[in-house]
Amino acid sequence: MEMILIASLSPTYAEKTVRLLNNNGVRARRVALPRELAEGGCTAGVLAEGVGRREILGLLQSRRVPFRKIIPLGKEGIG
Amino acid sequence: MIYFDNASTSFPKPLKVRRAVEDALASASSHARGVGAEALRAEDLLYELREEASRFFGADGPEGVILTQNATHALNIAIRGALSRGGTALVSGYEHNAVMRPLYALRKERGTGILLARSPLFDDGAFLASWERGLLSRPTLAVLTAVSNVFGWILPWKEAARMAGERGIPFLLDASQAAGHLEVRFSPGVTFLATAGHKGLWGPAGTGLLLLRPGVDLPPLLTGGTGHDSASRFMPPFPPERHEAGTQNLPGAAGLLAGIREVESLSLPAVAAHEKALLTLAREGIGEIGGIRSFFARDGERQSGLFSFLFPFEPPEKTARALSEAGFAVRAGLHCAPDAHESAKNPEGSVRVSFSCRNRPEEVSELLSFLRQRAKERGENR
Repeated sequence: MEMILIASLSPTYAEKTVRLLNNNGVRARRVALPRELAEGGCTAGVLAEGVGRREILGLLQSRRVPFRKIIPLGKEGIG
Repeated sequence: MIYFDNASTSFPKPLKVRRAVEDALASASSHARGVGAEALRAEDLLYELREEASRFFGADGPEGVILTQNATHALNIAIRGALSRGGTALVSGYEHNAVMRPLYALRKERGTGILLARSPLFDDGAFLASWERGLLSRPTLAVLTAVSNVFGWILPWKEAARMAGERGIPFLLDASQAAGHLEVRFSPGVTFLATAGHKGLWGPAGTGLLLLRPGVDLPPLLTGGTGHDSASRFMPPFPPERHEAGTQNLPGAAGLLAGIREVESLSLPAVAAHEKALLTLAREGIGEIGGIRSFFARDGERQSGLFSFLFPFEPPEKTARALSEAGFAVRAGLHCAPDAHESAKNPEGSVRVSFSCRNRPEEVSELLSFLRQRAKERGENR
């Protein structure tokens, strides 16, 4: 299954992202972010499964939920 | 014990609040510091509280809800932030020391101005006229309590906020004595809303909230770890984390969340009507006793479920002590609001009785019996 990593701006935005995705039928959960994505390491990551980058982008933009980056991970996940 | 000190803190806390605190102690660890189940439960809990508080006050979303230690902390973030470059604050003559002391400290530190919109007690028209005159001098910040913590006067805060908003002046509403008792919304003109969590919202001590209008930027009061952007030497640029350095009070947050839900389950209009009925009972009873200096609004709609009184023959502290010995919890003195007493021309202080939705009419009747007896005994012995 395709996996997408969303680097959120903060833990609060990460929670908001998880709820937004879940409410739209997307499986998503909080994860730790690699240091290079979080400027010092952080828990503000969201891992979404079975959905494309474009769809996630659309959802986040339509609800004005800011984020740092959206990174397609393929089927391997964070690794 | 009959508890009539709910304006200090509501008591006893509902079972659901106590259970929520206990559950959090057992299930939630530290937010934003890990991705284990306990840490994520902590994140979830804080977010739920932000969402609930945002809905409850009609704010724009969870990211504008800052979790604080108490109302004083919330007020300090807003006051010190909004006046970080100096300026003048406009306030009513009925503010708590949680507002006045930060302002006086800023005056000493930076020469910040304080403009007092004085008015007689329970006189909305006089207050609004005084407020409008204050706004004409273009203060940097306008601060107003929704309800006086001494007299229960429901100030015309919606109108005052609208007037400030029309002039582009940031408006800080201190909702500490109103939240959970009366409908308080993030209405037009309100820029910041500060409240205690442990009064009408039934949360544990050590909880408070500051709500911000989107796009409002304030420098942080405290700086420190937030659990993210750790490489940065500065606090994050956006709320709520910008204003939340250090580990959060998770058990407190869980209790506050349960408390807000409790208020919602009871319905605010029902709470307000119940407390109003208790106040009416007290007002009529005290009127019949006579010989008591009491402070009640002629128009009952202008007063929340709290009032002040004093006997002419003894200081309020002595009355409160006697009440305590008789099994009543009340508060006596200046109630951290010396300006309110000055505005109401009552420099002696008062005994304050403050209801919650958990008080019963029979308890008010017992208070009235005590006051009747004391007025008779002490009045005769003068």
